[in-house]
Amino acid sequence: MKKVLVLDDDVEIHEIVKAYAKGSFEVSCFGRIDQAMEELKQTQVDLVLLDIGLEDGDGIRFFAENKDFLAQRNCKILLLSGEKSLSKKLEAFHLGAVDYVVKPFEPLELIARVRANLASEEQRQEWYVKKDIRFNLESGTVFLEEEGELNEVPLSPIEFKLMMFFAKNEGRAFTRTQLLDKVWGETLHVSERTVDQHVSKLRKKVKSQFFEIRTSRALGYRFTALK
Amino acid sequence: MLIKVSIDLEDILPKYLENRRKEVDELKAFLASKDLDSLKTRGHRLAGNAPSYGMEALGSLGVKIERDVQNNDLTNMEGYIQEIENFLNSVEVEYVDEDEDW
Repeated sequence: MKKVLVLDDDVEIHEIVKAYAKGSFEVSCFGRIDQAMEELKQTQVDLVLLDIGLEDGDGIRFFAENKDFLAQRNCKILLLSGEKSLSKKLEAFHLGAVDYVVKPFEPLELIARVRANLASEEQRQEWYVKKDIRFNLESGTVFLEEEGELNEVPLSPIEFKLMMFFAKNEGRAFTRTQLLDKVWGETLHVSERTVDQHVSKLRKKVKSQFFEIRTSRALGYRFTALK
Repeated sequence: MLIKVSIDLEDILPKYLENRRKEVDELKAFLASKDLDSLKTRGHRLAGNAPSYGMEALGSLGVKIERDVQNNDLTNMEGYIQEIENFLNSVEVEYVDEDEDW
């Protein structure tokens, strides 16, 4: 059964989520950030219901500071808040929240949203999505979303593998040698120039509105958000 | 005052109402000691949780408490706390199936 962690300093919210979640998913509840972090480190949690106004900190800040940690664990964030402002919602979605529910909430609706997000994770496993770049893991194809349409980008198998590697390691710089090891594998004897040629092709083919492969001086290449 | 709420709340609503009754004395104490931070926090929580328990009236009072504390206006605070107490003393709950028309 999927696991949901509630991080909210109001125990009445804990109780209502537990009451309505029965049979749908497992729930563990915490009122403090340090307690929740301890649990997140020890247990595979699928989704966190995260309150923004916590007694011991700001939920948005907690999310921002632990974004990579949570992403590495495939842990989704659904924010709960009494704050209705558009700017707060946009801030949450910009960080990667899967949903934002304003308090007071209708319990049935909240549970439905949680269930939909947990289910969509199962359905999406065929796909790896990086904003406008969509990787179909079954067919090994890449699509770019442009003005609401999905357009296939013709990539060779090794280009697909390299693109996927970059996408999954956003922000990290890799030397050519590291890329050869990670993507081509240690058994193949290819030169470092091969990496340059493939990166050059990817830059021409995968024209994302959000990301680019940047040359990192002395290090190699880095897949990162467009400035 | 009769309030119809979802049968899903049957196990937890009695405890919720009991907690609110205990909270009335705490709210009075916060007001007496001018502990505005605690008053605001409790008002905020009440605003955020009461409607989910089917208690819209309590939620509205929570909104007023939080708002007035933010505005440093304690003129009506005693009245709000009294309204919470009156509500809790008079509320009767009927649990209904969510699928029913109510």
